[in-house]
Order: sequence, then C-alpha cells, then structure tokens
Amino acid sequence: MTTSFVEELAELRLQVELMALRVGGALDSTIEFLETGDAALAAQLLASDDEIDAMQVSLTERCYNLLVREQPMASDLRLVVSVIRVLSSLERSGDLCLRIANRADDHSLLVDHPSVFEVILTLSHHVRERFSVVQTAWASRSLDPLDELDSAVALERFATMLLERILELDGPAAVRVGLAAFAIGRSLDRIGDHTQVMALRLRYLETGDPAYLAEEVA
Amino acid sequence: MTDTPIVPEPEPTEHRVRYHRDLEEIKADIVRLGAMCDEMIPQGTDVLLSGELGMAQRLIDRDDDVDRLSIEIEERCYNVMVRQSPIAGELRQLITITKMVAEIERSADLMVNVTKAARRMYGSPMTPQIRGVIASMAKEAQRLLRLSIDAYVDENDALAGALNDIDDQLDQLNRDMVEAIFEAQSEGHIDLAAAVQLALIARYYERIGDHAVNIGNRVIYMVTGWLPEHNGAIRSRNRSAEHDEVEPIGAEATTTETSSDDGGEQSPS
Repeated sequence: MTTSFVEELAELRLQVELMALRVGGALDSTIEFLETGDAALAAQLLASDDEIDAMQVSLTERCYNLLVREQPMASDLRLVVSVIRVLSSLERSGDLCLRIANRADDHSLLVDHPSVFEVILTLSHHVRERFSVVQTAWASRSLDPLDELDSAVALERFATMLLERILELDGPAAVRVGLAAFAIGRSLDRIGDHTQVMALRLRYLETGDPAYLAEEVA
Repeated sequence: MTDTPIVPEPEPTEHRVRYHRDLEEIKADIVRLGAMCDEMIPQGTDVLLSGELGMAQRLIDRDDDVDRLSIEIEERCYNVMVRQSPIAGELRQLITITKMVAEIERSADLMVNVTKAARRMYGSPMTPQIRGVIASMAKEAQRLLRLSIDAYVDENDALAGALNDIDDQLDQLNRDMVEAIFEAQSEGHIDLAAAVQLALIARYYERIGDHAVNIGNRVIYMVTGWLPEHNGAIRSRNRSAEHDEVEPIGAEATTTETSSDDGGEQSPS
C-alpha cells in the first residue's frame, strides 16, 4: 500500500466528516425553519443542499477512482465501500431537509394546529440528536457513542403519534394540514432511517461483521 | 486504397472473457432482483385486500431472498471493480447496479411493511373507496418499478427521465387516499388505529414510486453520465464563481436555476 493511498483514505474520512457537518448544519436550519417559519432559511437551505450535492459528486467519484486505481483489499475496501454508502445517505438527508423547507407555504397553518405541530418539533429534535450521535461516532471512529442510539426513544413512536394526531384533525383545513404534516413527518422519519444506515455502516466498517450489512437491508 | 495489412483482432484473454461473463451475470441478477420485487407488489396487496394472512409469511420469506441476493450483487460489483478496473461505460454500469440494488431492496421491504400492516389491521373493514385507491396504488407502483427496470434493460434514458412525471399519478393517488381515510374515519367506518395503518400503507406504495424514479435517475447516469446531484454541484460552482467576481455597478441580479420541488431528486427532462 502506498503512502499516498493511506493519505487519500485519511483525507476521504475527513471529507466525510466535513460533509456530515454540512448536513448537520442543514438539519439545524431545518429545525429553525420549523420553529420560526422564516422563509429566508429555505433559500439558505437550497444553497447548502447544492454544496452537499457538490461534495457528494466529487467524493463519490474519488471513491470509485480509488477502487479502480488502488484495488484496495480487506479493511481499506470496506472503508471505501462504506463511505460510498454514507455519502449517499448524507446527500439524501440534505435533500429531505430541503423538502421540509419547501413546505414554507403551509407553515402558519401547521402552527395553528399545535397538537400536530408539537409532535413535528419533538420528532425533529430527536432526529437531530441521533444524527449528532452518529456524527460523533464517525469522527472518533468509535462505536461507543452508538450505544446511546439503542437506548434512545424509537423514532417510530413519534411517527405513529404524529399520524394519530393528524387523523384526529377536523374542519375544512384538515386534509391540507394533514398532508403537510405527513410529508414533513415522513421526511424526518427518513432522515432517521439514513442515520441508522450510517450507524450500521460504521459498525460494519470497524468490526468487518457482515451481519451489520444484513441488518441494514432487513 | 492503401496497402495497410489487415491485422486480426487479438483473441480476448481468459481474464477479459471472465470479466464479461461476470458483468453479464450481474446484469441478469439485477433484473432477477427487480422481477422478485415486482412479484411481491400484487402478492402483498392481495394479503391486504383479501385478508388471507397465509400468504404473508411466504412474502416475508421472499424478502429474505431479496436481501441475500442484494448483498451478493453489491459485493460482486465491488469485486469486479477492484479486480478488473473497469473504465467509462462499464464502470458506470457497475456503479448504477450498486445503486439500483439499494432502491429495489428498499421497495421489497416496503411490501413487507404493507403485509405487516395488513396483519395489524386484520378484521378492520375498508370502505370500497379505500379498497379501490389501494388497488390503483399497487398497480401504479408495480408499473413504475417495471418501467424503471425496462429503462435499465433497454438503456432508455428518455423513459428513465419520464418516470418522475409518471410518478405524479401515484402522488395524486396518495392524496386521494388521505382524503378517503379522513372521510371514512369522520363517518365512523374505520377507527383511528386502522386509519393510521392505512395512511402508512399509502406511504409505502408512494415510496416504491420514489424508488422507481431514483432507479430512472441512475439509468440516466449509466447512459449519459448525468446525475441529479450534478445540478446542485453546478449551481454551487456558479455561486462560488459569482462571489469571486466583482459585480459591476447597476448590474441586475438574474437567476437561471430553480430548485426542484422535491428536493433535488428530479431528472433533467
């Protein structure tokens, strides 16, 4: 293995951390948008998503170049393949943040229905916490922080609670509020799924145990 | 006419023959994976609409086969990349397959979710309107998945690019479903627990459509080298370039790019 290849792998890991920071920032802006309804944040999120896309394109290309050029084996191969998967999850998470911000027109309507809106806010904070845990684990290359995920409240509970609250709505705006809340809840839930994929990939990367791959597709 | 001697093409080495055989086998397997998932859509829908739970376990077992084949295909793709160092079109083929695997595998998972939801709401009545929308959503989801696989097999980037618009039909059905659920619940035909399960079921079908659109985007990449993320990357580059330039006094700000309303997963067409 050449020194430059070792350096390239280290650089790749660093770039993933940077991209995770960007996505974390996008998640923060998304939560701020939900809390304030500030439409300017939606424009910021578009610019931020473009940067995330640019990073994904360039880093993914770099991964495939490494695969083809360096023909990595064992743990190096696991690293490159896992990074490809994680980049995709990060990019999709950025897309989902933008999808939430695109609901700016419905924001005041959602605020007028606190029974639904409060669950959305709670869900968004739980998703952010989980993302932070995985971000820390990736940065430290340690699986210990991931133990927190096992003891964390299942996101599914909030997703179901949100649906129940949506279906308790009545009045002429019920369908519109329901669709908007459903779309936002779904996006948050999917960011949670991507966070789980990143956690499983890190476990696979550090242990080499293919059971984590199986868990990822289960 | 020149006197250039005709040089016979060299016989492909055993290495190359094996490479092409591997590639063909992987391509056949991704289509097989698509077909397995395609079959699961009407099967899972039958469990839901007929209440025949006997078939549910078979479908869950089938998903285990999908998972196994998915992991196998992905590993084989990376092995071929590392061993054979493919370039250009062949590399794009392999990259596309690794991405398609994830989309198909998730679609099969979603049909398992439909089946599990059917178990949870066993015995709950469904209004004819809801049954009709579910049947239509299943049909549309299967059609989208099938079209995306067709686009891959035929390397048809025009069809792949049209999937996003074709998916509008499924999105509309999802909205119809939400309205039908509200109506049925307010009239007392279904209880809250069943309504929650039905809303989730509609979401599962809708997501199968989203996965088909994503497959379409990968097919476009395979054929043309274009990815949806390239649009964002170009905008980002343009913005950086604008920052570096000194804006002339009185110049009007213009924007030539608009955001896609689904968060950047749209095709260029």
